[in-house]
Amino acid sequence: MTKLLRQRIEDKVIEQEPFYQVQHNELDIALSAHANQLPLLLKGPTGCGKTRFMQYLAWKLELPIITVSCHDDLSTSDLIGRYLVKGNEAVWVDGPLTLAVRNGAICYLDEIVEARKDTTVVIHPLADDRRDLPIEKLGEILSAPPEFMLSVSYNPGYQSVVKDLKVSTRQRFVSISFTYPPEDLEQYIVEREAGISADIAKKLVKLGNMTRNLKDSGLAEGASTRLLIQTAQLIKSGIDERSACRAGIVESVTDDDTLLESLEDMARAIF
Amino acid sequence: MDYQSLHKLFHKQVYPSEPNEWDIEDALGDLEDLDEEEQRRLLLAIPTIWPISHSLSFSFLKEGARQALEFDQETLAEWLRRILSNYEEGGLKKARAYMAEEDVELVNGQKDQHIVRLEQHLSRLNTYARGISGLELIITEADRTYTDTETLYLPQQVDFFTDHNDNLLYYKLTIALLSCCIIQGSFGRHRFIPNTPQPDISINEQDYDVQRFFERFANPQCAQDMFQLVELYRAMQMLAHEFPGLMLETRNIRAILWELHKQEVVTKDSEIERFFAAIMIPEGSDGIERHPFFSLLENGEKSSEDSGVFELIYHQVIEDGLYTTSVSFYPFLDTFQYTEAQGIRERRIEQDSKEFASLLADLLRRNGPQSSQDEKKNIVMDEADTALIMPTWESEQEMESERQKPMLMVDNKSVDLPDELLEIINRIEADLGKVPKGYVSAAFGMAGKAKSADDGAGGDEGEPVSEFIPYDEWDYRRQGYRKEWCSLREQVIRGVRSTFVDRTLKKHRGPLMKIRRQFEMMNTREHFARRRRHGNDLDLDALIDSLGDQKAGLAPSEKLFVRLVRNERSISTLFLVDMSNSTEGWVGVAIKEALVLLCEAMEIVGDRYGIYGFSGMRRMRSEVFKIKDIAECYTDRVKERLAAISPKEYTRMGPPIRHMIDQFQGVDTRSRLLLMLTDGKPEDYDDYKGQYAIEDTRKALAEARGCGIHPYCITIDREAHDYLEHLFGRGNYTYVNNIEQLPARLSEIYRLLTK
Repeated sequence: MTKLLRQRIEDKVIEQEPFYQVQHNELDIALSAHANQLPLLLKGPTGCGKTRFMQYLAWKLELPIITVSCHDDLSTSDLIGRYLVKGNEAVWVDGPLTLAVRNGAICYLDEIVEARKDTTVVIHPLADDRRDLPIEKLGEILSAPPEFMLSVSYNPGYQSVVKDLKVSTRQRFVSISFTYPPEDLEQYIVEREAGISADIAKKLVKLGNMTRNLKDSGLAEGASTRLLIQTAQLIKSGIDERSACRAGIVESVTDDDTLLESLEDMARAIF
Repeated sequence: MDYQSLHKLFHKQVYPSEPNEWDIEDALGDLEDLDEEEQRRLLLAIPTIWPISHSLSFSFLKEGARQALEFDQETLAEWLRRILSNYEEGGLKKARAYMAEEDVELVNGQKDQHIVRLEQHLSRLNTYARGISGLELIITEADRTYTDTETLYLPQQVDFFTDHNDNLLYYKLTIALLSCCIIQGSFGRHRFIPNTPQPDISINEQDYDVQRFFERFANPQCAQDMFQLVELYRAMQMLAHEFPGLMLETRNIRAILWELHKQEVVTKDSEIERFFAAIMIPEGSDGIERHPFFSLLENGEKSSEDSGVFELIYHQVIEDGLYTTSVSFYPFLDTFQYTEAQGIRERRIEQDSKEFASLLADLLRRNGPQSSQDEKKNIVMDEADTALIMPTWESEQEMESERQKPMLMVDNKSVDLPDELLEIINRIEADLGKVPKGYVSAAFGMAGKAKSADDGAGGDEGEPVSEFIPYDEWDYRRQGYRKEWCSLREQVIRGVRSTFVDRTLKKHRGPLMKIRRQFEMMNTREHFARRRRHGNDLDLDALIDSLGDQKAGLAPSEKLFVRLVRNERSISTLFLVDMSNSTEGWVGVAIKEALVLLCEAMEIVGDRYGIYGFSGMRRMRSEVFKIKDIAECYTDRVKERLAAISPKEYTRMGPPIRHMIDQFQGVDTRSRLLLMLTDGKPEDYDDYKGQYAIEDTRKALAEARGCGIHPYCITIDREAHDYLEHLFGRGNYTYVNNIEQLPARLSEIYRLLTK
């Protein structure tokens, strides 16, 4: 069993450098948080690079990373682990969080607010200076090794009032706020990530910024960097630019007829 | 279709009514000669008119047979709309008179389908303008095409081209062109000082005056025209660079516009005209050669600080005697209105200075030296201890490299400035180059005064009886909020003891039984609850967990079953009831009865709900009356309040809706429903009327949707159909045409909505 687990965690080591463009001081903060054994909270709009940043950080620290996408049916045993019956024997299987603690990996809980509040409470002892994970069923308290890092993310933009982080949870974290990168950086990211010409990347970023200008005019959130990259990929594989913008950006950000028309107009002005 | 089929189709349209046969015969007789398509078109319009007036329906068929021959589907729909509005204004007589005459405008309108009216595309174009410019621009109708840097003035309609899309494209081109002019700073203050300016303090405000600037030239008109040409050149350059798609798309229409321009101008083939042509149609393939002025333009600097290039061109034009008459920019756009832009700029500067001072003063008050009780009387904000540090830069490079943020130093401690203040500082710097010293002193003055005033005020005054809550109001004309424009006060209705509730229950005994049965049925949304002690089926996950625990020597859990649970309705609803004076009489009673039945039904289904009434007069006194809040039980006191609902004043809908949004804060249910019950359009005693009121209400509802609240409207307003769709969106409203049905219908609608 232990052998199996070792293998599993080794799969989570990122061998190749993921592409991540540092925007500000986020890498320095994350590295010193890790050095000081502090947990990390990433917040920012969808598709602005939070998850990619975590991958990059894991690569940089040469640590395995385990990502858990949270949802409202996530139970504590889903995080910590459970006994399974194998043959005539009960076998304990670590959950992702336990696995990360045992092996000194990074555990990344994506969209933490989606999980129920009683579930998120289990991370409390892990997220302060105790850095302990009590496993009730094993009668064991795991102490996290110095390499272990807990990191969570959420998007403050579109959460409803009932879905917010408990104050006691959020106040345990070092927080880094992510936004869409400045124009030239974003252009470079789109260019690199999609392998597209600088000219098209520039135009896509321009369109992206135009949609972000409309946040007060009825658009919940402007086009994310991820959407821009996806559109660039469509263009690269031969879809004509306007159709790619329509499918990749315009239709993905709104259903409102007037907004659709206006966004289409903008795409046509650029391409 | 023969008479028989017409007859059949007609009956289908008016079912279940059974009109007189001779009426039908009379009306359908004329239809027989039409072709089937036309017959169908007319008959399919009948369900729209029938509930309003039967006689009108017959007249419509008769007149329609005579007139509507030439109408296509859309025009027929418009004709019908006009008939109905005539009917509402002056009854059957007026509607018949209208139908008897030919509506010339309508017939012509059919021919003018290529014409694009700004009004019809305003929302789309406004969004477009904001998107491409990133500025809070507003589009307004005007006789000329120009901008004052805040508003884009565009013609009411465009018919330059035979194609509808081309005319629409004209608007997009003009919006982009004017936006580029604003962004590149064609109206910026620095453009209007002699020579290239240094950030020099010795320049006075009046030196920036546009009028004086142009008057310095021997021929001011020529200078102004050349200035605009150079700015247009730069704007077109920007357009080509930023919006290549638009350039490509507008290539044809620009060529056509140029032909129109040539028909208009008096002097043809002049050097300046060719220059203008080369600017507007830089593609240049139509025999327009590169103009000699371009070498001047391209060699000169293109920065907005630079007025040298235009001066070079001006001097050349004057020297060579090329300027004979003023330049017409028609139909691309009109002459720039510098003074209007200057007015806007001055107003902005003034406003910014006030805002800056008040925000900074506020910040100083919060971060200023802490006072002890003894010193209370003598607080002075001391400029020596406190300073606003503005970053300075020695050279251009430094300025372009990462900018230091300004900050506030209080007692040698630095205080970060709020974003709002930083934004104003940016604006001031953009307008004036730097924040003048006077602004900062003003803030210190304000902070000092206010501090002593605060301290001087004692707590003598009592608590206000009920607090007014300020709400913003949406002004569609400027596409922005009027900040804290309305005040709203929440009051609890004083209940009256009466038999109203009992009487109502007795009166509607029949429907009530049906409602009860239906609502009991609603309680059956099934879902599986896992890990239960008892249940219909084994929970495999729990069982495996438990087996594992057991094998491992732990006490296994007993919660091993899945149970079908039926009470998972996670809905909360607020009912917002119109208590305007128009509900006086039977309407008001029906609304109250409806609410009584609704409460009975809600108690059965167990959903959380609140009931509020609203009314008010003028913007400073909107009132919301609490009948039952969402956490309250349906007690006798609530019943007393229900009985006490009575018509009050006007219908200003925006503030109560926004107040309801606040009431929903913290309500932890999956669906949140705002159900409005009203009898008319939003309207108040002041200028809260017509489109303004509708747009504000629409915005408030959009805000509600943004907060995850689903608004729905039930109305008894006969004229409702048009604006309700605009307000609530398709399918999100119901029209109850028979007021007597309202009590039964309200519960029914709620049931269907939350099924």
